[in-house]
Amino acid sequence: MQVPVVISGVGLITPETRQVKEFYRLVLNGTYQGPKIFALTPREIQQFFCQPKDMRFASRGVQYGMGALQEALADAQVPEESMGQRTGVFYGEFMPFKPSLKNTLESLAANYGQDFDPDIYLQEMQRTSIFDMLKNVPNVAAFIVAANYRITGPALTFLNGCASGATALLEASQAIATGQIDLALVVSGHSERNQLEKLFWRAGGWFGENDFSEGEVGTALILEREATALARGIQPYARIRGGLASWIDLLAGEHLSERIVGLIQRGLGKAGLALTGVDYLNRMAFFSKRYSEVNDQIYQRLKQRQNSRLSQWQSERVSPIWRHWIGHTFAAAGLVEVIGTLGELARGELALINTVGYGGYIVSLAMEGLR
Amino acid sequence: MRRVVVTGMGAMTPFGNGVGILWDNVLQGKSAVKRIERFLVKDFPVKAAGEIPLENVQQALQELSTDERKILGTNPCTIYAYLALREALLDAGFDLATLPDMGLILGVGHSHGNFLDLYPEMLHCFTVEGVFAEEAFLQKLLERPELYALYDDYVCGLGPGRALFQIFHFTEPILNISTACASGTNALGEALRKIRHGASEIIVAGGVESLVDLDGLTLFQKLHILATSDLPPEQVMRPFDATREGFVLGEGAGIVVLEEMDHAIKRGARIYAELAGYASGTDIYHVTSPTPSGEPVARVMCEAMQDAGVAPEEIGYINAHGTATEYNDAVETTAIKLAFGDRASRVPISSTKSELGHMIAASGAIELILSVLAVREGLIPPTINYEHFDPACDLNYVPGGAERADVPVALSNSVGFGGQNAMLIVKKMDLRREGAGEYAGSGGN
Repeated sequence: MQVPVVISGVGLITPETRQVKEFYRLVLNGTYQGPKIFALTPREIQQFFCQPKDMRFASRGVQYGMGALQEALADAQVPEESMGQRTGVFYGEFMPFKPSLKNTLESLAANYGQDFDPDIYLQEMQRTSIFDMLKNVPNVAAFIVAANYRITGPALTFLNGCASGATALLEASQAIATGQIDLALVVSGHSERNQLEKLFWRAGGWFGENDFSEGEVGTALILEREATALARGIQPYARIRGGLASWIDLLAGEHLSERIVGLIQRGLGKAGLALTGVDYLNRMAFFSKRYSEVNDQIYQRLKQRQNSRLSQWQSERVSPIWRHWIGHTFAAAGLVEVIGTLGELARGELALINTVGYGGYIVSLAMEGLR
Repeated sequence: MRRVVVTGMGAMTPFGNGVGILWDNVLQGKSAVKRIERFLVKDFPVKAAGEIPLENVQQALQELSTDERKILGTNPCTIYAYLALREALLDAGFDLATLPDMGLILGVGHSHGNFLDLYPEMLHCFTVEGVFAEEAFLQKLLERPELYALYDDYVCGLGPGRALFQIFHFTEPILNISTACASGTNALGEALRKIRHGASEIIVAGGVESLVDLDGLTLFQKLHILATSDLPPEQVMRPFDATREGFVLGEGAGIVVLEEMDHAIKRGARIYAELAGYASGTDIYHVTSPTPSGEPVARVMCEAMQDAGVAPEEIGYINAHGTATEYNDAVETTAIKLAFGDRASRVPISSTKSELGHMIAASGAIELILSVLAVREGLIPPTINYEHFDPACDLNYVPGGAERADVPVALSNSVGFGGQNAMLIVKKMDLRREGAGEYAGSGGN
């Protein structure tokens, strides 16, 4: 027996704002200027951690995620004492890049020359801080969240590329729906400022004027049973209706849009839904402009399957691509799309959020507005 | 509730390619740990590891098509996962060309790939003054696709999953789960839950890891949990022994085909055992150390037994996490006592890491495979190198060689870095009692 699961709290840290409502206001006013790189102040960071010792191995992306989580928990009015064994952490992570590699190579070149010697490398690595090395361990972020809020239920980290955050959300909703846990903290954050890592994206032609802008963000959502939220007097944002986490071959050429639409329909079908019931389509969150044609094809294919209800979609409601304001935020991108959509979703409307990430990971998620 | 069974298994381990070679060597109490050969270790204090022999990999790759080899690339994780997955699918009786609808849940660790080839190229882009010539490196990446592919693996770590999907076209769910040493166990457990609740009929799940590299060694050595003994390599890994001083790294992949029981029976699949229970929890005491009381570990063991509907008295074998670190083995022993009470001293417990080294993200899946075979064959793998009694580790660790015993139910423990605890329960199945007619199984490879 699966029970209805709702989003009862949201949190967002962006360069411009530390609050979701403020973000919505800035976007609606047209004052949001677009992607930026930013840094939290030391004071802010301290406020986001209940266990200051964990800050030592929290990467910048984790710091952002912790900030967003603090807001989301306050928003959902979750009593701290209610978290424990029946609470889970679901963290969407992009494989952390080794933060100290550049320093190590610089030191090797300066002290030993340009010929690589594994034994010397091992010696050089002894100088690297263990806390910097821990930042490179994928599941450390989930531990930090659990430890800071004394959560002893499952703490799972998902590495599904840029669809990681959306995957974490979908898995969290299923864990509650099937009775594994009662409450889920879904978190993802991203910081994109490692010089060596940026080079990879540049070499692939991803960054820059002709493609996406990098962005930084912290995102968090609180999920629980609908009945629990209502009993606590919380009016949830939305009910998770279902979806799927899958993979598509990005080299499928002309068949790519067709296959993606097939997956979207499969996800809806598993939730007992159909495209005809969808009111709000968050346009396929391909992060790269090189897929803009595929995006258009997907939209056209979805429209071909439309009924009269879909034909009433207005363009501005079809394409609220939040990354225009925040930039591409990798693992957190799917959660940015979800949080952005929640700002517009009216009670009773069904939204379809689709996220496709680097490597071909895809999540299609349906949610129904409750506010 | 729908029941879930194991219908196929595949393993790539330091013993070589295949579940059969793994099982035979573990039962004989052989060690796969050797002196590190992949790169020269002169002054580094850690000198032993469970490396997969390069010739095994090359031989296996020669049997693949050019297209397959191209997709797999050079990332060891990708290659190990592919070979284990292929074996598991064939073992389950599937035609690789016409696979039915199935999902894949992979427990992954770093998956950063073959950076012994990458770092030298990068180092050449640093001047002798230590200045990084960014544009020169960018140019290299643009001009050399093979270098870009290496860098792709290194930066994104998506290699294994991406290659497996591209070759086998799995449908859904498709998940990469990372919970350190518990990754493989969590992947299998989440697959169990999804099949139980009707999300899928078949999911292949398991774990893959290749951390026998410069960064893996450094990380664990700096945490002071790697063995640095001068003993011969095959004797360095000494779980539960009083002279234990940490683990050696292993590498490889373990993949299991999980299937809804009726679905498996209908297609006439060989059923090894039932995957009957799973639990997962977090120990928030410290990022690298378990709570000394063992309570969080014990709790997850109890939850897994509860999930499977079995009592401690029914457990006939525990495949322990058994990392040979001072803390883990003592705390795990305490936790087993908490969870099993009087039964703790009578249940056989072994650490098969003693033979293989610690395969980190892959370890849980490999240990589940060994637990399945223990249940199926009635044979309990030994803990090797156990010679000196430690009062903090005073249970039966099967030190004298494999033991024959009826094992109706087995428990497989994973106690991971970052407080990641995950446990699985395997149950023996008598298919005649399930109304499935003749028991079709033919033994563990």
